Amino acid sequence: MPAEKKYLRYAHCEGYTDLCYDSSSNYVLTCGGDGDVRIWEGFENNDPITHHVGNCATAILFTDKRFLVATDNNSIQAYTFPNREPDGIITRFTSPVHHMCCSSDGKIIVAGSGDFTIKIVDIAKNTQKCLYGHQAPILSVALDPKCEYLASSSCDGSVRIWKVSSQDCIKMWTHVPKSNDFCMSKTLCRMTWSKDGKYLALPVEKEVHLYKRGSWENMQTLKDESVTEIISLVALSPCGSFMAAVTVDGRILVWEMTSGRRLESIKLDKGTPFCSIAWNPTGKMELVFSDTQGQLGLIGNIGIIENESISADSKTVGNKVLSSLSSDSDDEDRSDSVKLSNDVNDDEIPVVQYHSKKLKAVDDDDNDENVVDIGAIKATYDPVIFGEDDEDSKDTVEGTKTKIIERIIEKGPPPPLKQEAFQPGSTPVHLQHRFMLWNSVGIVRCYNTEEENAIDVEFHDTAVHHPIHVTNVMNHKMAALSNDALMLACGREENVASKLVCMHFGTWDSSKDWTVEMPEEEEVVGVAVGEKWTAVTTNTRIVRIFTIGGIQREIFCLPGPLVCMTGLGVQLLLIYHQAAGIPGEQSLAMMIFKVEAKTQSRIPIQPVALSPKATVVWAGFTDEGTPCTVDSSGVVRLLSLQNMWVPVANTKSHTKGKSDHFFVVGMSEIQQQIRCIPCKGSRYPPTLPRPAVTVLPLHLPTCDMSSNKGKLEEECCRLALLSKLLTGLSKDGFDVDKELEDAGRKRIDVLLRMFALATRSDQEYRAVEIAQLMPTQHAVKGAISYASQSHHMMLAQRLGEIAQKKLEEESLVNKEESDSEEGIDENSEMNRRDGNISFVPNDDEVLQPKPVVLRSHHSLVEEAVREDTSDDKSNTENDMLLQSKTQRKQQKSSQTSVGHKRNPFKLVVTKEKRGSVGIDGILTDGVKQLSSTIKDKNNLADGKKKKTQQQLTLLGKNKPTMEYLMEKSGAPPKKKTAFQLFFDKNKPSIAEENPELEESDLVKEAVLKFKELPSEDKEMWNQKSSLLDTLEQGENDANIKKRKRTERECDDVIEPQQTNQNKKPLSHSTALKLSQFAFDKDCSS
Amino acid sequence: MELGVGIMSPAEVEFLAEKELVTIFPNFSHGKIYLISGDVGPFVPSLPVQVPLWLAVNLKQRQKCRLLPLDWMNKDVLEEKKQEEYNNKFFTAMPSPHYREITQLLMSIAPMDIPHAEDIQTLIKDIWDIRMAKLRSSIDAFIKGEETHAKLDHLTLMEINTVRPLLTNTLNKLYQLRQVSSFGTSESQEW
Repeated sequence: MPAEKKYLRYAHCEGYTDLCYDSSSNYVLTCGGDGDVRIWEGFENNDPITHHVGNCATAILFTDKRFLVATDNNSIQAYTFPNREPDGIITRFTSPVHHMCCSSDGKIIVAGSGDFTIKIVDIAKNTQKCLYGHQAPILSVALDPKCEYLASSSCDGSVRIWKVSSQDCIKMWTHVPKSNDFCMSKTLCRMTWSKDGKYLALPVEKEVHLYKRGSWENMQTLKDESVTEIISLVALSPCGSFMAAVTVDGRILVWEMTSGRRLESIKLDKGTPFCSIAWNPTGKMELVFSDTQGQLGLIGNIGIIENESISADSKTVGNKVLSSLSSDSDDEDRSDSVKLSNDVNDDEIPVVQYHSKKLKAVDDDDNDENVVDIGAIKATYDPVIFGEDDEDSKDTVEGTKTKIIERIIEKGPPPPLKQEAFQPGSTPVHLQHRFMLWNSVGIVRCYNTEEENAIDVEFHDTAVHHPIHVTNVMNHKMAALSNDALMLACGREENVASKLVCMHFGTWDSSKDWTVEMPEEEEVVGVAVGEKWTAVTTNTRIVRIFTIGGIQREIFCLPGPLVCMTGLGVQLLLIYHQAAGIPGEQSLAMMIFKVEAKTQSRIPIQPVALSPKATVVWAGFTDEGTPCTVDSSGVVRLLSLQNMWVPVANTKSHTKGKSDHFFVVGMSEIQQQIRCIPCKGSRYPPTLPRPAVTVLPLHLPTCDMSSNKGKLEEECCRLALLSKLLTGLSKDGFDVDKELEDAGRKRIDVLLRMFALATRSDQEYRAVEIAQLMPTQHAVKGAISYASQSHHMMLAQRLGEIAQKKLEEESLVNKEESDSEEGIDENSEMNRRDGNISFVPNDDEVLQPKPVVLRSHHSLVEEAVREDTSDDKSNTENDMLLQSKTQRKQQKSSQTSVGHKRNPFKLVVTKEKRGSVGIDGILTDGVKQLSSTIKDKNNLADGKKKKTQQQLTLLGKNKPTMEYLMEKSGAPPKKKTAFQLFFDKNKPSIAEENPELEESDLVKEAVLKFKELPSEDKEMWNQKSSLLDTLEQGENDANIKKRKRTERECDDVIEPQQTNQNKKPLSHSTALKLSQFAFDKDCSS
Repeated sequence: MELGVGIMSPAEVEFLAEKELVTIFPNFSHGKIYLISGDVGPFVPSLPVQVPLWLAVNLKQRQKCRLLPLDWMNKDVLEEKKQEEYNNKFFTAMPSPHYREITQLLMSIAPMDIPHAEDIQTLIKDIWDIRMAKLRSSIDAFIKGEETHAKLDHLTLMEINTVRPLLTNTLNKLYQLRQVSSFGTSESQEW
């Protein structure tokens, strides 16, 4: 059905509305409950002239150059048109006027009112007649074209025919449903006379009756099955050939009068009752109508299509209509719409095409919803543009759509996804304002509007170069930027070859630009720039490498169509389609070409990992030079050193909304950050307002992230990755020692936490596994210490084995590394052997962690897990016993370490930090226990000594550990117990007495001697000790450090006296403070 | 009490406001700067970094950075805030204790970096006016009621300082006058 139904548009507020055409039919005048008259210049007019006439306008009528409006002040006011100036009051009633009509010459006006009266006003003669008779408000009036009769309908249910001259009612029907007021009436019962006045058309229930003039007999009935409600209005077209009727449920019917054929039956969606309807007076087959919602609507092209198929004589009528229409020369729509509707059959084919396109687009969209596809947009809008008003075409479209879907299914699986080539860090080419590039060097923006076509280059670091602004004469589409040069490339156009333009601003000569034309038939699809080179890939899959000065260096073929390319340093990364993927997926490969590689090695080709159905949206290098990709699902992947793709983050997990994305612009592994631009509701950032870069952390997708364990494991894996990378980098000669050390420290810290967690939950096997992950043996020692303190003896024992193994590995490595290094002292060498022999403990006691060294390690663990350390109080005195010995050992071994290049400051720092807890522990109960229990513990101490010795010496080979040991043991001597003082003093003499004794044995001997001392003597030593304590309180840290250093530098032989004087113990409170400080410090770091 | 003694000038309040942290995008690279109040940096071109406002102002004046508008420096937020302030009988909490000073500073040095800068300035001024009107009316009620104690929440430093010089002096004078008058009346009674 070709009738075109335009959307309903708002005209007035809700309520009764009326409308009419002006005499030229260029304007539609409407009035409504808001008291406004609106003058619409055609239906499409969005800004009608509004004229306020009162609180409520109930009826409007256009007569000869003026319009009459009935308002709520019960009068009919005339206004001139188009000036809208008041032009007198026609008549007044005692109630609002509900309907007006006029004679064809406009001289006689008839109005029916709510006060049951009808007035006939003769404007020319300025007389008026009143018709009384109706028993209820008047619904409508209709004046016979010959002005002889008047028909009126009323809420009393009657329709009357009046003789105008005599004002007599000559005929009455009771066809109208009764009601008590106009606004309550179901029907408006609008009647119409035929053009020649031969009959009156009257809506009667669901039919339209035509009553013959004079006899008032029903000569014809118009009816249709589609009518389900009573008919409220009828209107005859100006040519008199078509009758329109409207039911109260909003159905519009049109009959062809001569044949009585029903041409149209249109049901409006909403079904709101109509208030008025009017035919376009020019003969255009259009109906305007208004409804009780205050909406204005239009139906055009009524009954056109049927013209051809109607019977012969009706055809003449149709032709008459058409000819009268086409005589309207300025009405172009008409002929257009006729053509259009005649072409309906042909139209179907284009529609089908659009839809097949659309379906394809929909398919694509499933995969990459945000890739803007012009085809898709076009497909979406084409039907709207071309067939928008054709209601029925929608039906046909629905039909064809389903047909097409079936056809596609028959075709088999959808074609594999194949993404187009793109420049990483750019936004789509079709945007008027776009980023051609956003990388770590700068931003290249392109403005491609009607006013300007320009390229803006801005550098993040203004020290590199000042901003550049160039007009984009060649219509460049791709850009690449490094610290030296800007590369621009444009596609091929008719007769113009594709070009590569280089702006080498880093040059020192005066010619900064050079241009290269691609051979005919070749078009640049990707461009990249690195250090002193640049590369382009063309659509023929040829990769051309130029030097930055413009020399063609190399040419090779890419095995498949390019996806993207980028460069950093000497590396050129190319991602291409290597084959057709499985349905819906891509099969991409990556090639990393080293542009200035001196050694020619095979180019590794690496398949690119992607999330299901994803495309690559960014590819590039991290700041450290690791290849990295980001796919459309937001997963960021790094190519690890073993050529595995490691998912290091998912940017999607940071977005707030489902359609938000992060536009990645760079990445740094050392700083563990992804630099990206948050894009709200899109995949690409707009150029304005200027987007801000945010930093996202790296985050491996490990399981169980809600638990502590999961978090620690994630961190551990990440740090392991980083350590590996940094180790690689430092081997390549980069100065990353600091970062490497940092990462190592953090990793040990995390591992110790994990270890503590596992130990606490009694998962010993897991704890052992964690210990095995520990990179160094001294981290394992920390673990041993923790395990033994928390009474996991089995665990501690197993850990001991691991520590041993680690140590051997380390020393092997060290040996290899520093074969030439001298000074591995015999003693430690010996001790090591010794240690090996004596290592396996027989006795749980022996397992107790003793060495001061270990205790301080333990401080690390303590940070993670606040454990009560009181358990090992009993061990402290053993520490005491061993201190002096240990000290000496270290002093000896220190010689070997002096030559080793280490930062002395580092050493000092760790000493302070780690040593303090040891001090604290020792301080707590050193002296008392020593004196009282020394005897009982003697044997025990012996055993411990062995172990300590072994451990100490074990460390002898390992230099960093050595130093570490020194730092550790360096701390305790600061605090001297009575025994130590005694021992220091008497050591030489004891040594003299027993020259055959080893150092450890010396201590034993000394203990015995100390014990033998009379109690007064002991007391004296104790006093001395405490005196020293108080003296030493304010000792400056720096002094201690200094002293330590000199001490280390001094020779083997250490004078006990000197030690005695210099190494003064700290007071309990100082030590406490110190430990507190150390603790805080660790917490904060 | 003499004017100027123990009273903060707006410049001093502004000085305090300059300690607030803002985010900037530097266009130069520089290592960390070690300051008494804490380390600042490192500065990496185009990457966001938090710096005190005074540093941001200095860098901006030298065209060394671009400012990121603060979270609340946003038309919608401020309109909401204004409405809230308007509807509420009492003072509402401000997004920043130095909202007026910060806005003033940023608008004067970096209007280009802030979208809808003029609207925001107007909004802030409106909020300020609403608050000042509230403050004046409450002081009025306070003095007329001859109250001895009043509590106002969520006043910012700058707001307090606009009334402090006058209010404290006035209260002193009022007190003196009252004393004199009560003394006078008691005297006259005696006489």
